[in-house]
Amino acid sequence: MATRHAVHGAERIAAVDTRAARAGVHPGQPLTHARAVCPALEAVPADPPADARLLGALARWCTRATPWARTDGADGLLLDISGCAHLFGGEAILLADLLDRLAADGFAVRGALAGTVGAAWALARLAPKDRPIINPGAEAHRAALARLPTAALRLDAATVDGLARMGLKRIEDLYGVARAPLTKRFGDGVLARLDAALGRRDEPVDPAAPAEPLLARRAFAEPIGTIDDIEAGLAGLLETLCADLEHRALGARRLVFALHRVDGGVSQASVGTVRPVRDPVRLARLFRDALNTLDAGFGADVLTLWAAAVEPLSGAQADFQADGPDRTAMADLIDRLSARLGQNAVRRIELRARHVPEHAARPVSVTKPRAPAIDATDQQSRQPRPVRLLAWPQPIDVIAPVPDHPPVAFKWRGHTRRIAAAEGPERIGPEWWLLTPGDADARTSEPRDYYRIEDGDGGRYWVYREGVYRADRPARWYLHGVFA
Amino acid sequence: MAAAVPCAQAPDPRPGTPPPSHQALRQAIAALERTDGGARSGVSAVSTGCAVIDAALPWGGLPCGHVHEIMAPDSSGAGLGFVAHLSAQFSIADRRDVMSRGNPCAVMSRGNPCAVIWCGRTDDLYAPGLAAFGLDPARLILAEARDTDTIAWILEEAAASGAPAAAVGMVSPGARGLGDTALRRLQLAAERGGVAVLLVRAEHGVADTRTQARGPVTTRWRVAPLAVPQADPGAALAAPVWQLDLVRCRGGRPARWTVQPVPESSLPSFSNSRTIDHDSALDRGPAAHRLAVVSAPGDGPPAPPAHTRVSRAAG
Repeated sequence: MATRHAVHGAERIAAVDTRAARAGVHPGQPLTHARAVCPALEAVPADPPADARLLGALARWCTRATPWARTDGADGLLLDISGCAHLFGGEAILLADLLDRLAADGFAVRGALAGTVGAAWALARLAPKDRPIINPGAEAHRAALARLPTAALRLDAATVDGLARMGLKRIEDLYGVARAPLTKRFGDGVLARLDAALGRRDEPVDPAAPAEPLLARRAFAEPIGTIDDIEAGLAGLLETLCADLEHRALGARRLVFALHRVDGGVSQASVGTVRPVRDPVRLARLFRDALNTLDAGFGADVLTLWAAAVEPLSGAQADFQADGPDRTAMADLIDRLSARLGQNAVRRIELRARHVPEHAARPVSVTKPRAPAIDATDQQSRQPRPVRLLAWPQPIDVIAPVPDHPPVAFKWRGHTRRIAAAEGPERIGPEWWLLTPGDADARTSEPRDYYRIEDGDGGRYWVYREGVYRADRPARWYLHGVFA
Repeated sequence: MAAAVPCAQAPDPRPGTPPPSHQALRQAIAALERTDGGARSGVSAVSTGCAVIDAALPWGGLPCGHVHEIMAPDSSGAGLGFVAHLSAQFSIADRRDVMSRGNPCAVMSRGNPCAVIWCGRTDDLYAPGLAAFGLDPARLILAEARDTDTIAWILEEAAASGAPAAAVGMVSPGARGLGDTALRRLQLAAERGGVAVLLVRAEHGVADTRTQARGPVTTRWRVAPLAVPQADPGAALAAPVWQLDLVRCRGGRPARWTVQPVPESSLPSFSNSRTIDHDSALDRGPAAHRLAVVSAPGDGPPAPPAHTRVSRAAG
């Protein structure tokens, strides 16, 4: 497997895995050559932004070893472990722990540990030995870097070519060269990198800025326990958090409010919204019901409010028209209803292109994103449909002429009703394209003949007979819906 | 209830001035007591889909911002069909009202003016069936609630927010209905938000006279299906026929009609593409429906035939 990207219009291989590399594919190769060398190659388009996000996530994961971790280029991680090695029992164990865990997750990873950034970069990428660890000291570094090519000094390709043409192919060749002519020919870069790798020049590691969590916290000198005090505290926290959200142009989708009690326990309540919100008044209204479920015990002395899920929310322009707030009134109402009744209690109808009537329209939660626009008009049957569809069709006793005439009388809820008029049948067959070959669910695999019937009182019902008429088996009739 | 008469309308004893208008006095008292149903105070009313029924209501239609109760038998879907028709009328009317304002910015910022909230036991509502009465499934929001108190709370929240076009609450058969206090609170909330609240009470049996038909609602209806003998037994079933009773109407008189819902055009078309606040949905919507009165309305004894009076006057 390999990833491909377009370079000047031609598709080239961007990265390969070990099996492809063993087969002879290498990065930079044109795709057609690669396919010729390895016919079974699976080349997917490269996705650099996704790779960058993954690398950032790995850098944040590496903070388990040291807080100073960041990404290095497009495929590397740089960690400064000064003072952290003893927590793991030694440098070798720390390096082995990180690399083993990454390898267990499926990454092909190489690593090295050295006293300088340059040396670590060079050894991780180009060292022949696996996981080298170099003790601090200029002599050790000189010896370790000696046999590596000059590209290991993070020089660009033109400089490496120039050095190669002058016969300087390895780093050890650079050790004895006079500095002034080298600087005049190639500029400061070569010697700066060499000095940094050998430790003669400092190169600090900047850690990646950690993402600040959206948390508002308030501590009280005396523990509070009454609802009014907690509400007042929550109002203050909401103001702070919403100001922070506005600063970052985000809106909260889920908030978690926690009371930290004096006895060490924590009581939590959470609230979710359909759309990102950063209006403290609306959020306070949503919390009103949830506050009753909190147990303050002997009192709480710390209140925290944390935004668990956020989404981008751009600043809204002030409306020039008089009727502005209606836009959010519906979303606000849905949020309030969901907060009290539960997330799945507020629902909307989703129409689907299915023939079976119980699947054609299902109520789904309002928070579920809308399905892509399908034109359900063609699939919607032109036949009339009942206003009430029973969740489970109820078996009924029916008197009907064979083979497929509508019923003349049926018994439901203890009443026998005579049929005054009937319409049908409408055959709805099973959706054979959805059944797997071994499906033994006989109820869904038989066609249904639906009849609209009207009894003597004017009530209209939707009944069906399951399966085609068979002389050897009594027909099974069910009541599925009620018409208006 | 005492009504304060404004002093400016006290009779003026000076000679030559016209006597005070009794009509103006009556109007002032009625407005204070709210017995005129707000007909002269600018309450907007939505047509029920039938001109005859609209004429019988003092507002010329069903007023928004009021509580209406519909009673129907549990075993038939007639009540649900009638309420779906009324919800569709409220939803369409709201959309037309927004469009007729003519201000494009007002239309864009109004979000979704046409959503209708139904609460109660909503598990067995079937949207394509409701769509046959003009209620667009994309505009329907369902809130599941088991007991009457929760239904009352949901209706009050929906009415006070003013966001939906109508709020429908379905009370289960056998459950106790909303009390007088709850109904008054609901009325106040509906007036604040300008949202019509429709309460659907299902009754066991076709006509349960033991059911309490009391409570301060603005209008109370009773719907029951009627069996109409079909001329041709083998033909398709015609549109359903309902017996519609206006049991109580504030400022109007009870009446009874036999109606039949008739779509104005062919079956409406819906799709999933409409989102709750998608503004392009305003230009096309479900087809309007109307209720056709099958037989003449009647309340009480029939009026004497007109030709008799003419002959008496001539004679």
